[in-house]
Amino acid sequence: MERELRTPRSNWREDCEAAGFLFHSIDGTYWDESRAYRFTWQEVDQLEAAAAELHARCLHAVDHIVRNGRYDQLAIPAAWHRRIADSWAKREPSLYGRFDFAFDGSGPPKLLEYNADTPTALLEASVVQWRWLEQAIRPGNADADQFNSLHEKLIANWRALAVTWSASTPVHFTCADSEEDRGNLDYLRDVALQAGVDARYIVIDDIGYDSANDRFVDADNVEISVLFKLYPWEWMVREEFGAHLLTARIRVIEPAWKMLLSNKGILPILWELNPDHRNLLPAYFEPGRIAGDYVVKPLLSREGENVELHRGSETLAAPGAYGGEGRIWQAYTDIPRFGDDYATLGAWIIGDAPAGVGVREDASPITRNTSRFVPHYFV
Amino acid sequence: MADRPRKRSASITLVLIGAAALAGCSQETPSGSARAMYSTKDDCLRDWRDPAECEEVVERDQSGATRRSYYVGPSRSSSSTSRSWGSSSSSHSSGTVSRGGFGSSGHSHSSAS
Repeated sequence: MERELRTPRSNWREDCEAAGFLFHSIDGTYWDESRAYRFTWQEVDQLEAAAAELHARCLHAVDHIVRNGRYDQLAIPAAWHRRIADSWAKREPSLYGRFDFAFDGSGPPKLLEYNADTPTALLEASVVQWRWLEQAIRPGNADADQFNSLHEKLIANWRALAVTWSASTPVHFTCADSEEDRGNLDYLRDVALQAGVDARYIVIDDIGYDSANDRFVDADNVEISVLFKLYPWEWMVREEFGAHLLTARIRVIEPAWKMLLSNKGILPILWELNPDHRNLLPAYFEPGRIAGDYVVKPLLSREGENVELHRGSETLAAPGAYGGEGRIWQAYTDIPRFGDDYATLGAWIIGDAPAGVGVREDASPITRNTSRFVPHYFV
Repeated sequence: MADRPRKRSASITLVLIGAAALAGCSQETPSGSARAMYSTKDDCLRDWRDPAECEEVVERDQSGATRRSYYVGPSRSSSSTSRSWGSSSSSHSSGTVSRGGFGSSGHSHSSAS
């Protein structure tokens, strides 16, 4: 794994926008092709195998949590325990998730966390870096490849999902009012349309609840029977309409059991079930069990908020508003550094299959929403 | 490399987003707000219903010849968040339907992870 400094394509902005990637410069520089990561195929095979292995370990952990009722450790509200168990018992299918790895090619990928419910940076990983590969790399190196079959796997998985509801059923897509979220949601709607799904957008505030019929409706009062939400489960269950999700006839993607995997509490449970696993870091629900440097993570934190990194006598703490529900303690591992930048890898699972990676760079070892997306290729 | 299975997508087509797709994608207006783009007026009307909401855009090359034309929906600025794409621009609330019960957490955070 090496970082190359490169001259950006002269038309990179236009090409990003031609792919619907309008937030390429959000918060300054976000898409950054002034550098690129070059992997060997052996390294890519390692990443793919690690993602497949951890996906299997995660499904096993979900089964363990449900069977043993360990919801309280994850601060899941009691009213939701049965709903999650039902969702798992039915094996409601999942569309996607993204493992964040520390990896530099010299040892096994180590899982930092699993973004199992509302992973983003999908459009750039799937479409934008693929276009960069075709335009900037392959003309001079026809053998170059990229670990990225996200697009075709997303379409295939939407097709598989669509056969589980009637052909005339619309799927409503919603997200928070954020440019980045909307860009990702529109891309997901695009691939769903290509799979034959009647994919409709609805502003989240417009979702209606029809109390007479115990159902959710859109702005036209059309029933929402399948909802794709790029909006965290833990927010939905605590909001005014959350309790109605327990009784109304509605299918939600990602399914409710994903609440268990998007929670940082999955990290100590994975470690407990798979001690000394080569792709895991020691993690616990209690402080004081890690000899050496460690990281404290809120159960429900997003975008690195309220993460504390304790390294020697130094503490690096990211601000935020999370942590009230509880925290976990995870052993520290070095985040690979290239020049002045720290790089983390996001390894995607689509359905049940590894489907690609994206690299994020930041001046801080804590990956945040401002971390830059850097394309990759392998030879 | 040659005998190893390809790990990249063979091709990528977009039908909703992106200038090439032009079947209902997003663009930035000079004011920075996003608008939906459509290849035909009918596609635009399917989402917005009101012809006044669907504006034709003609792009020309340096010689003045038409390079492409398409339609855009109304500005998707924060002031238009009561609108929903893919459905009517007007809601028909009944006595038993209430709205606004989701979204409060997202007003202070991005849901990205």
